[in-house]
Amino acid sequence: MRGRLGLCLVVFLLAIGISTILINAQYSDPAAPTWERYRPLIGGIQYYADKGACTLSYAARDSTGRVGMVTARHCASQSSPLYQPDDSSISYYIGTPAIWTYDIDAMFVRFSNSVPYVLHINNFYGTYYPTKWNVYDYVPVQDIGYFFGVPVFKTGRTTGTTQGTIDQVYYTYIIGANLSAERGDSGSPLYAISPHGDGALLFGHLVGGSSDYTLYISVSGVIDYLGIKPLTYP
Amino acid sequence: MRFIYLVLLTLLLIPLNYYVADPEREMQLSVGEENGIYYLVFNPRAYDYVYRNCYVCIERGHGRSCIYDLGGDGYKIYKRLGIIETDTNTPDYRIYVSEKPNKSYLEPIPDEIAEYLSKLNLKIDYITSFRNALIIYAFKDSSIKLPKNLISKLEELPPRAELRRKIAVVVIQPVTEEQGKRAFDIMNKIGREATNGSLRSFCVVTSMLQFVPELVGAYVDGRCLEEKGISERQAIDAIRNVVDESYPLKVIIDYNSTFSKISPLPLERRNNSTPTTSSNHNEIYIIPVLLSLVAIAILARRKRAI
Repeated sequence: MRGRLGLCLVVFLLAIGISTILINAQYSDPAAPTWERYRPLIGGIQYYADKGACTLSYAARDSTGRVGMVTARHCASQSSPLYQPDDSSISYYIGTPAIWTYDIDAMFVRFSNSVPYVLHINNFYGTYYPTKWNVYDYVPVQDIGYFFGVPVFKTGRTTGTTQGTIDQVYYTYIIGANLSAERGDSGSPLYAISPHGDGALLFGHLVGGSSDYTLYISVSGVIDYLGIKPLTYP
Repeated sequence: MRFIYLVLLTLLLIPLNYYVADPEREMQLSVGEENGIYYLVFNPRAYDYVYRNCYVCIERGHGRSCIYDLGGDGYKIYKRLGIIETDTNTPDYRIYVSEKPNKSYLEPIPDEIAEYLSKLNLKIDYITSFRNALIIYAFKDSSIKLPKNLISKLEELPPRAELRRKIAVVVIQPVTEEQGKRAFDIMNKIGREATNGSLRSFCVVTSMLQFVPELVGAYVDGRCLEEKGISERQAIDAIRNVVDESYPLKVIIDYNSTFSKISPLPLERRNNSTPTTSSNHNEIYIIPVLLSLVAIAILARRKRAI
């Protein structure tokens, strides 16, 4: 009887241990989950280009139907190779910018293994737990006013997930938000989480700002200038 | 004795300063409370002067910031009222609009609430519901006094109704319903003229729309005005040639050129290699694995002993 109980205990403890390893990776640095290698590619993770380290924004589809990732244009030259998570191995190569323009601070790199998810890092008393939210919809710039006061998030390779609120829109596609970011966070997706559990609601990607006030290009700008539409799921 | 009175007087004054975040500037939303309902009303005194229905904020020196401070007033008030929570784990909000929405993230105002608010003659823009608060965004041309029993009325709603909240905040936007609907067009009109049109020569850099209060703004480069010998009022007159005077506007005249400083965010340099993540893992999962190994060892020992 005791032996059986002991066996049950062993199985139980092993199950807890293994599931903790597999499901709940924990970090002590708020941005550490963004530095991992991710395949498929998702939003909110680190990549390297010729100008340095930045953050991938969100998965999208171009006018030819091909899939890839959107990020800030100022992170890379037009012909720069991009690597995720960094350029320490040739196997991390993900491509070069396929759509790149001076008109708007956005570019598109084709990578067929990209999915509409964003990395979101929860902070639990100083321990950080990464989760992935599916992007279920995106908000055009005209509707952004409805989200004043609603908690919005950005996830970037330097400061991880930070929270704040949107407070204004600049002519015509720039969103201003009380949200902290630092160098390297350029490209971070800006999103809210659905209260119904649908997933993440996408607003745009980070292009500039100061440490406590940041500017984002709305998805409407990327659609209108680059002809690229964010992927959504479901 | 006099000292005690002074201390008491100081203590009494502390709550009056509750909403004064920056001693140099008033907030652009004044907060009033009546019967448990907070009223947020546009406060023109937060601005340096008013000219031709334009609320002008001058950015000069480092003591204040027209963009960061004025922009964040609504956020600061919501935070102090306990409406905005700062954790990244549990969002809880709903957005209700009066017109039937075709967007996944908007919901129609429930019938019982729509009926109730229409009886009060409130012209609602939209309603945001948080875990413990209800924020009603109303236009200037609506009735601003809600009845004493609003909170109890909200609490009486059936449990399924998402609008049963303890704190009710009514934000009276300084624009009429008709003006509110034109806000995006007005912003784009000023922005277009600032980029390629007549306002460019008057140092207007960009336009913006601030959601609380729902004011369209124009951003003017103050140094450019000085270089060109254009007065602030001439720049405002030029803006008024684009947007008629009946439409209230916010004008930021920036002699520090802070707008250029906030874009773009600098990059992480190439020589900063990716920090290793392995050392950052919290090794807590090892504890149950170790415990199970100990349990296996004990079991094996017992078997051997038998």
